[in-house]
Amino acid sequence: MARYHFDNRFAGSQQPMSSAYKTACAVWSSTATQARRGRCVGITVGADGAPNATDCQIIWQVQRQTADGTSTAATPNPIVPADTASLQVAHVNYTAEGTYTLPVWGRPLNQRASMQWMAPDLDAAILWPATNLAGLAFMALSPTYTGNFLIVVEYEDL
Amino acid sequence: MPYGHEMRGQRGYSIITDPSAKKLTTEEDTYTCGHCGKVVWVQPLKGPLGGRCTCCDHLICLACVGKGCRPLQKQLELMERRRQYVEVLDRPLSE
Repeated sequence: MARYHFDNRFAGSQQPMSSAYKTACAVWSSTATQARRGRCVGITVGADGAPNATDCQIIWQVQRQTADGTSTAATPNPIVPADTASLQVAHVNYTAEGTYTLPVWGRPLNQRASMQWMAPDLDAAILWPATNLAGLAFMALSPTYTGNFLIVVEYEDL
Repeated sequence: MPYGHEMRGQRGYSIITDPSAKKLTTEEDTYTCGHCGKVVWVQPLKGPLGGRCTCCDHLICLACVGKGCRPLQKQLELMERRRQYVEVLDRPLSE
């Protein structure tokens, strides 16, 4: 399976963090290309700006998406350059949130911390169905930190 | 053909780098629930994590314990079929 990478520096303007969840990246199946299942195999998160003078936490989360919000389209890069373009749709830097249901990944971290999660095992990856607009949304919030943040996503088309 | 590094299992792995913590780098294991797909962090000696489904033999999260066997793959199939069913119903009668 081809593996792809994208983050919220690919397109659009990074949206600053707020005390409500802000979606930085989302990826989903689309019948406009060809609805295919996908699985997320790696997530890297961290603040992308100077830390706030008041020490605080950032809550990072991934939720299942059922409908898109307002965002900028991004083109994921294949890890192996010879692979074809991804059949999934990827958007970044949401200005209006989509519709989300179940959180499937979440972790609070200090504002100065960064984290990388990876799924080396096949069944550890976060799957989404081959249904139009169904996918994953990657978001964060902080009660105090108001700078930019970076979320990097690695996924595979199935 | 499966590759050597693609073991069928539910184990994930995370590395946290935190300059404000006592320990700069923390490594933690995770597993992905075989029923709902949620990623669970394995933190030793910090209470119940979940269980193992005796039907599908997958590790499951605490929320899925006691709720019967609903493998994730089966749920994905149901989501896809539900969507296909709705698309068929939406087609005009003349087709």
